[in-house]
Amino acid sequence: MIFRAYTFITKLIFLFAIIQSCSISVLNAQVIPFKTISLDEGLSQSVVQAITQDKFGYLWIGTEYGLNRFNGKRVDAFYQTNGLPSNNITEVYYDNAGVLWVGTDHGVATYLNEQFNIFEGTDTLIQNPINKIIHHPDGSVWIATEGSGVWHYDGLVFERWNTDNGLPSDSVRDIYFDNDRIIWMATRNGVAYFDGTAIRVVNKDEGLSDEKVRSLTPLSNLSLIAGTRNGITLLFKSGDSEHIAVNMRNQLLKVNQVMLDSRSRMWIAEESGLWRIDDINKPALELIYNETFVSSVFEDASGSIWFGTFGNGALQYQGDAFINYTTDSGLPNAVVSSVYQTKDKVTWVGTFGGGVLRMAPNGEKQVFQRSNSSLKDNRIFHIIEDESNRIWFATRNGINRYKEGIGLQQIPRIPNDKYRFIHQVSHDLFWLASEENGIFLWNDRKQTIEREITTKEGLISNSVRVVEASSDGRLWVGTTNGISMIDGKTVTNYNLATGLINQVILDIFEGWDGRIWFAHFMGLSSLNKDGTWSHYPLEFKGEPLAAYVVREFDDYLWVGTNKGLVRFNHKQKNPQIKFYTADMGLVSDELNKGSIFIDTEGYFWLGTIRGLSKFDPLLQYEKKIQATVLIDEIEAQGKRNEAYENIELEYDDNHFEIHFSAITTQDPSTIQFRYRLRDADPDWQTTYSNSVRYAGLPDGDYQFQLQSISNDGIQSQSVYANVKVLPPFWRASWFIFLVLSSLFVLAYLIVNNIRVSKQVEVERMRVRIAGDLHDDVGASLTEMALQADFIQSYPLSDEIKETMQQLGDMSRQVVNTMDDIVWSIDARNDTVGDLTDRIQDFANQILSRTAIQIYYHFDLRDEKRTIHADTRQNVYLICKEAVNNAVKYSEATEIHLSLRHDKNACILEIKDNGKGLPESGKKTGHGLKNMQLRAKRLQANLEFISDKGLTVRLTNLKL
Amino acid sequence: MKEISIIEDNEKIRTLIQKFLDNQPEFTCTRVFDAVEPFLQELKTKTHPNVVLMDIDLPGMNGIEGMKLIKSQYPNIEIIMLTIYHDSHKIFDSLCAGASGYLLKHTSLPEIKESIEVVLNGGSVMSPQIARKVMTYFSSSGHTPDLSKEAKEADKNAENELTMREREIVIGLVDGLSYKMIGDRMDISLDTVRAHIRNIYRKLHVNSKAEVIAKSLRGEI
Repeated sequence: MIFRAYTFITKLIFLFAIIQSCSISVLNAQVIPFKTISLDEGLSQSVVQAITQDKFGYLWIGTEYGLNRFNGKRVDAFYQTNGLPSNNITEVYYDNAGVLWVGTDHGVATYLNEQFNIFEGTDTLIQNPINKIIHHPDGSVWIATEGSGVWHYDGLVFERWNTDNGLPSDSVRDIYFDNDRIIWMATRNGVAYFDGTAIRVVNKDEGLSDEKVRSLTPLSNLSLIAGTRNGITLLFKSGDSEHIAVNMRNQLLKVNQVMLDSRSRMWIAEESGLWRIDDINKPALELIYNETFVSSVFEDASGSIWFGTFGNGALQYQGDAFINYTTDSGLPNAVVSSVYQTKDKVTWVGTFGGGVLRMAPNGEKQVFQRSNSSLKDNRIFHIIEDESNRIWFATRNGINRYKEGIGLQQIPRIPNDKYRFIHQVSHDLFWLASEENGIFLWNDRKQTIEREITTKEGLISNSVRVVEASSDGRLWVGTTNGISMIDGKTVTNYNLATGLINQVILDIFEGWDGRIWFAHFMGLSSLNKDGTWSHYPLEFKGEPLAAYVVREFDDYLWVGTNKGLVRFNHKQKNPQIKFYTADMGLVSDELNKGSIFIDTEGYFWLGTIRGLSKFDPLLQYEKKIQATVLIDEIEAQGKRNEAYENIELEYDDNHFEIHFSAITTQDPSTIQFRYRLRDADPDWQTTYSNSVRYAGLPDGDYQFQLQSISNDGIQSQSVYANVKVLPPFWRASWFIFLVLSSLFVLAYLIVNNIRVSKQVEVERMRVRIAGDLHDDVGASLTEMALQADFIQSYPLSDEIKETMQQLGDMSRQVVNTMDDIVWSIDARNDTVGDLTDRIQDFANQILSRTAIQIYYHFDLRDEKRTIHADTRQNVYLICKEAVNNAVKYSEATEIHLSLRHDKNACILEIKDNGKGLPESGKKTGHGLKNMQLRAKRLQANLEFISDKGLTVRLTNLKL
Repeated sequence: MKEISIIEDNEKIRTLIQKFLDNQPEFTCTRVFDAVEPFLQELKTKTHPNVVLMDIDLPGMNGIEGMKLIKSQYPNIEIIMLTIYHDSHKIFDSLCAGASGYLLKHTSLPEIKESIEVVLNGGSVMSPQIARKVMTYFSSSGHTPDLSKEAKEADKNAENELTMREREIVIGLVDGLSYKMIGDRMDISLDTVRAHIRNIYRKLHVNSKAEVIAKSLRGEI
């Protein structure tokens, strides 16, 4: 430990001295985004005292009341009842062996394999709060406490360090082991260090900013940073036992913790907030967060910074990627429809309803509105700067212009119209795009219109959204009805008929390879150099994503959508789509049409419906990590099973749904899952959903394999679940039964499909049929029904009329059956309330044609509770059958339908006042058998009671 | 004579309904479209129909987006949503977007005609599934996404909350009472019940307008 680098040190001393004179920069016009995990997100309490992360990616958050585990989406809380020694969690530490250490105000617990164990000895020996738990490189555990010194456990015995054997104080906040085997301790009476011979102390006399030392952070092999109640002190280890303390005195800072992140930035958790020094060589103190006491700061595996607060929970800092501007920070309106920055760094923000905001580089702001200027309308569509450095504003009611030194002007001779877009052609010539009248070429010098192009001249629509010229001089006009390309005098049009996938064009951009990109409601399309089209439909969870903006930057396409900013490399075959969302700091997930500006430093300015975000697309320090994937449970036959259970399913009832999640500290909705049923699925499937359903598999053993793909495209390791489908007792599943009895044609369609693909694919298709194909079949049947109606309106023989009537009824019946199937498969209808509504809808519909009165008695204490799809379907169909029977056979005048609680189960009753069950021996039909079968599936008991009418009673029903 | 327009991309269904309605003495139905965009173009220059039957799933702009646009510019046009299935979520969304009612496409032609007449007489119908959604919507506070302060204030406007009477009707529907039973219970006619329902839909639309402002930026306004 010989001190050598003298010059380095003097330089450092010098630079740190500068900090004292540095002014503190507070960002007042901008908002730094944070993601909060607090009470609303499920945190057990909002006073956060410690944060760490385990190897799976879970964030562990210790609060004054309860320990919390966060997987990116959900918080699970743990308390004394789960095996913790106390509910007041003061420290969390995850060691290299995969053990989580939890320090409380009364002892320490370890957590391994989902189990807490009290770390023996600590509960009786240590009656004071734990400040720090850390492993020495030799494997022993060191526990620093508030009031009972430091405990050292080598696996056999506890050794106590306190004032009796030389520690300056019994309250120790931090411990650090350096490479020279010196043990450093932050105490209430200075920094203590032990070099193997004796404990020595650095205190105020040596220049420490305060005796109350709270954190020790290594800076280099030669120095460390002491955070104290009165600032930060740099400690140099020079000479054998001599120490120079250089004070970086700052009266403001009551430091709780200092942390150096992986980019060498210094974060200071402090009593008034969170501070940062970006470059230790050019130190400037920046205030990041000042709402409340910040107790601790932590960098997770992805390089993201988290900090714990007193009262506001745990927060994730998102300011590296995004800086936001909202109405709270001075925007005149939240809907930012256009943004432009001049060479002089003056930022113009056009809003939809609040006029224009001018932001000077010094932060000075000026708002132009109709009430205080000659602005034509407060609703701005587009802002550009022309070659003479004039700013043009296209508004909903004309065009304005601004020149520095002159101010805002109107352009008198332009017709009144809604102006969507301005494109400068040359010094004096501008294409103006209007809402009603196509586009026209404005000569600004002569103040005349030189050329007009409307539908008369062949424009595809007069409702123009965007006009851009490509480098070859052709003009591209995007409208609500397609694209017009103008090349000299000729106009070429592109719309749905010529193969566009969507015709509402919102943005146009010429790519570097010369192709023209079009953003529309379904994603992107590009017209390639060779005249062919490529389409890039964007989708998220089955819904198309509308593209409002498209740009090419840094080898990627950047698309502004209604699910944030989307980035992908279109040159790759299966490009990874990366989302930048509101959960990650973007001010809103919904961007506005054309509202983007890329400034000279490469920042994106993005206009959204809730404000403006400045975004750094070149986040070079992002660490790409995988998201651990977990199978949460497998739902089968109404039961929830753990993933590790081996599940056996009856052949005739083998629907199951696998629920899974991934652990991430980023936006959980951007995690994609990749899965297959081994030996059955030919290919991997991908989804952004957190569950997948299988139904009607052939008998056999299946292994479900699942991986996650993080937002950065990193694939996780696989997890597995095993499902066995037992051989069949009988073969007709409910679906096929229904379909066959309903319509042969439909069965034929499905059977035909079965022949051409493997059975698993058919099952997937079966589910999809419910969503997609059903629409087609449903439409055809609807056509049939309407056609039958239509024919009946002609004068025809009664016989034909009757046949037509039957045909129509039959088609409608099948559509209704399919409606039931669609309903039962749709996961949005998963509550008890949805079920009773559906029953009512059905009953009301069928009874409206009769004189029967129906009364409902639903005890809906838990109408919001979710029930399994199978249960829902079976209960619904039992009701349907029973009501149908009552209508057809009972001759009743009243029906009472009730669903009520009985101990742990429910009772469903359909009671009529008709003639009851027919005499035994008569055919009772399929109906009753069907109901019995369904009851059996529900594991409930079904009775038919024939007494002054018929009562169908289902007991022991578990909803 | 009332004019009916149809926006429906399935040509056969569209033609069948059109021919039937056009044959009715009280209606004319000649202008039909396969997407929202050409319909909007037509409205700019031509007369406006009284009622539009519109499919939810349309190519290009979907029916719900399209409805927002049409209602924002031409609030007097009554729109009836067409859907193949009773998908209460989509139906509710379209009511929020300004629909005066909805019809299952396989409803028989005479019943379609009847529904149009109900709407023309200022009434609407509501199923229990929709009634429950309406109830949840109006009982939960802050039912509009926080977009702008103006929108929030508009939202607090008492005029747009349900009256006691309307609430009673919705609760009655959730309880599964028929219109007749509700009418009997409240001592009002069937038409009055339907008129109340129409007014509930109108409030639903007004309260959801905050969304219209922002989203329609993509298209109109």
